[in-house]
Amino acid sequence: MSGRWSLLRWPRRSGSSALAVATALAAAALCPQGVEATPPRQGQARATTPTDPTPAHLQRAHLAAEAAIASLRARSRGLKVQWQRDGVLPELLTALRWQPRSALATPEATARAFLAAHVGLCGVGANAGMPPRFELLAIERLRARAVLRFQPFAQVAELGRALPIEGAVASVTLDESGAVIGFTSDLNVLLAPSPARITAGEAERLARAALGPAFATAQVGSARLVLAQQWGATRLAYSVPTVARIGVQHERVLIDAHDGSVVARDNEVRQ
Amino acid sequence: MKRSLDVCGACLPTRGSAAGLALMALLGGCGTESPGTNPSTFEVVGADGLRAGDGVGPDAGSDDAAEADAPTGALRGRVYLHDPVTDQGETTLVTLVQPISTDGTLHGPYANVWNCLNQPGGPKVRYGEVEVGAFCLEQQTAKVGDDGGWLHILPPTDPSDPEDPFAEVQMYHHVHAMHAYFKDHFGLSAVDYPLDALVNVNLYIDPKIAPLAGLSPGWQDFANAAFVPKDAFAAFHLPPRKADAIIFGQHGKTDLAYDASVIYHEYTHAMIGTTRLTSMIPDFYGIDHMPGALNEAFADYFAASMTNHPVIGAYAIAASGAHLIRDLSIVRRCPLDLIGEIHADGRILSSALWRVRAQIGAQFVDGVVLRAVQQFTKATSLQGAVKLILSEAEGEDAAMHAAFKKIFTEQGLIDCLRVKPWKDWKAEDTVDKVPYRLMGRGKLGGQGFPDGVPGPLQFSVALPSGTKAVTLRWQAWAPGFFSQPTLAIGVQPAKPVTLNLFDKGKIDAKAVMPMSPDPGDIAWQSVTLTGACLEGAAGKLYVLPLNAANADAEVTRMTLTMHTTTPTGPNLRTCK
Repeated sequence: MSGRWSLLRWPRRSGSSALAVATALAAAALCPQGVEATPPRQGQARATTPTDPTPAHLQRAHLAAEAAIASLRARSRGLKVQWQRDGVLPELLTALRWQPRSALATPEATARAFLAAHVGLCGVGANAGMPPRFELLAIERLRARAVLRFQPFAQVAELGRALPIEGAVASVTLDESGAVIGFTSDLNVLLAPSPARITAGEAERLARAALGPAFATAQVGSARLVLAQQWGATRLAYSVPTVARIGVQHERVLIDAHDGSVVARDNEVRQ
Repeated sequence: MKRSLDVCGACLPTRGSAAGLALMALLGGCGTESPGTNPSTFEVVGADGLRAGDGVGPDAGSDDAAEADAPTGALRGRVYLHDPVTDQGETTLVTLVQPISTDGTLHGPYANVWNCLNQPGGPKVRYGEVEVGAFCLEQQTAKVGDDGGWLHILPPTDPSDPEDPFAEVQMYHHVHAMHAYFKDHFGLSAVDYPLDALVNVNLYIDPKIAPLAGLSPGWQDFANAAFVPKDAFAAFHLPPRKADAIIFGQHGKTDLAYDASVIYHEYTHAMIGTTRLTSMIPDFYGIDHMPGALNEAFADYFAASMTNHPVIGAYAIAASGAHLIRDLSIVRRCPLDLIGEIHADGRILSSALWRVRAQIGAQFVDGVVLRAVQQFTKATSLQGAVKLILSEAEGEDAAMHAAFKKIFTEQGLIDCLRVKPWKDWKAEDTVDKVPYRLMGRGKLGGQGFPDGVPGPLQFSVALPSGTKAVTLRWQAWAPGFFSQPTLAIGVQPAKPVTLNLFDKGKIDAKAVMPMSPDPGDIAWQSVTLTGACLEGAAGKLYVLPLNAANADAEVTRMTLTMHTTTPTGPNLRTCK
């Protein structure tokens, strides 16, 4: 994989219209399977707060991912890549085959060795982003195969501790021989977030306000600090659980700890 | 930005909630159409097709033979294998999994079933500081008989019985059957604990309060089913639970627990859909709701595969409207059949998987799909999902992979761009009767989307030669509000409108135009476009709906008018 621009890479279909769209697309860096990938050009992405990613951040992160993929492709010639929606980091790798040079005792050790050897898949390298720390969520087995799902954490300097990245998961799939055969992730580039300016109490009040009149009487639980991903940036946020007193609603509201805006809402009831 | 979907209506899509409507949503605002359509005929699958309740399902041979083999009724019970409609009212003899309870109740290794009785004593429900009623009273009423079985528990003579113990037996059997299907055939172990399952769920509304809240007094139906995280039960002031639960309502003469396909759907959510495919996330074309649609697709597909029958909700969902039944044998395609509602849009993938299954068998297809699903994250895209499924199939068998790929291609699942033609359209006249929903800033805005929150779909307008102007009209409203919603459209000639994902979702388009009150009809909004928006369009104009308000909005009708001469009027907008 080279770092050349290839406008034909998007939008994953052939023809002149694809080229036309790709040419005009601002900040596009989608990288379809098997096609050269390149990060956004300078000036396409615009930093709006001090810790939003700059084009240089994205480019370095993307190149780090490409480098990791190139090293994997050397051993997995059929390797296929699906890039995330913003095109910076991979969403999944298939037709992958990787084994540590020496056998490791457990699937977890193998998965961790894979992640450590390919941190570029998470946009880490050449100062592109902060290295995440992975906490094992679960090992899901399907016959002889094991899928290890990890919760990424990142260190927050101002707090002196690592926080979970809300909503992000990275998984590593091992076959019966212990080889890594798949990788999926929805982890964005990790950058140092803006410092917190609001308190947990303020976050709880803001969460209740954000829910609107249907949740006027909602129970609001204790806010806890997490990292959230939005617009290519890592934000320090409060995760506030709320429960409507009436109705099948259980929303988790993410409040930006820097400016108090709503980062996201999740209704965890699935119908 | 990532969030999961908020849909009201179990397997049922309903309108969004606004102030005071959450209760109505709970109570079953999912339509009141009369029940009943016969499901389509069964589709026969290959010889390796897995059978319903394999291992824990119907006993071999006829009922008589089964009973002859069982000198006692130990662990025996009767259930609907599918539902009362599909089974034409006939129950089937089955062997239940040995409960782990010591009091004869249906508390098994993988299901702990509770009957929610319409009796006093349930937790109080408050709306604000006002006590408006109570939740039903949870008890375990189905008790083992003297013969060690449950053959004495049969469907009630009155199908509207809100407390029948038969619902418990039905639920107990089918949850264990589905668990066995996932675990015994494929080794899944994510729900290796007794999942709480509530049947006959109803809610009591205090007669003194009901008129003030605009509700009917007394016991209210719950025309729905849902997977509910353990914490969400605090909404009803229920005792703390150690784990999540699935709940099923009683709605008139319909007991949602009687429909095995609905049980399997909800249980599949519990098994594979709680830690993945929960995000709603912007992509270059708008809000990508497809992770949620994929979640529903798999819940439907595995429910259908389990029953070896393509119809989901022939009995339970039909009670809320025959149009809501999901028949996977009806082929849907991307993008033409997209409507932006996750249950409906999930039918594109689920119907494709059903076709592949019919060709090459359940064992192979289900295994391939589960291996792919296991690797999904919360935000896995449609494209990523399709690639993973194809990759898993390719790793197994080239011919099977080709079958997957052919059908996925035929149904537009590969490289599907969420763009469909703007044409004269009326939600009520469509198969699904679902409006286009545009979420507001209250849910998705944050500090992003300076031009408005984009919808999940874009529309294309084919421009005949000589077109000087185009009038786009829609009938839109914000549920719970009297005023018209604040909507706009991003317009781009020749190519789709795109979002800048690194600049807070700013629209990259030729123009962003407001949809203004239509001069001909106050319930409508319109815009007439001329000028640069049409120049260089190469015969096609792309339109992305935008919602600049906090509240959600729904578009229920759309019209399109071409002009060969430029019209006049207050809503004429000239693109520069």
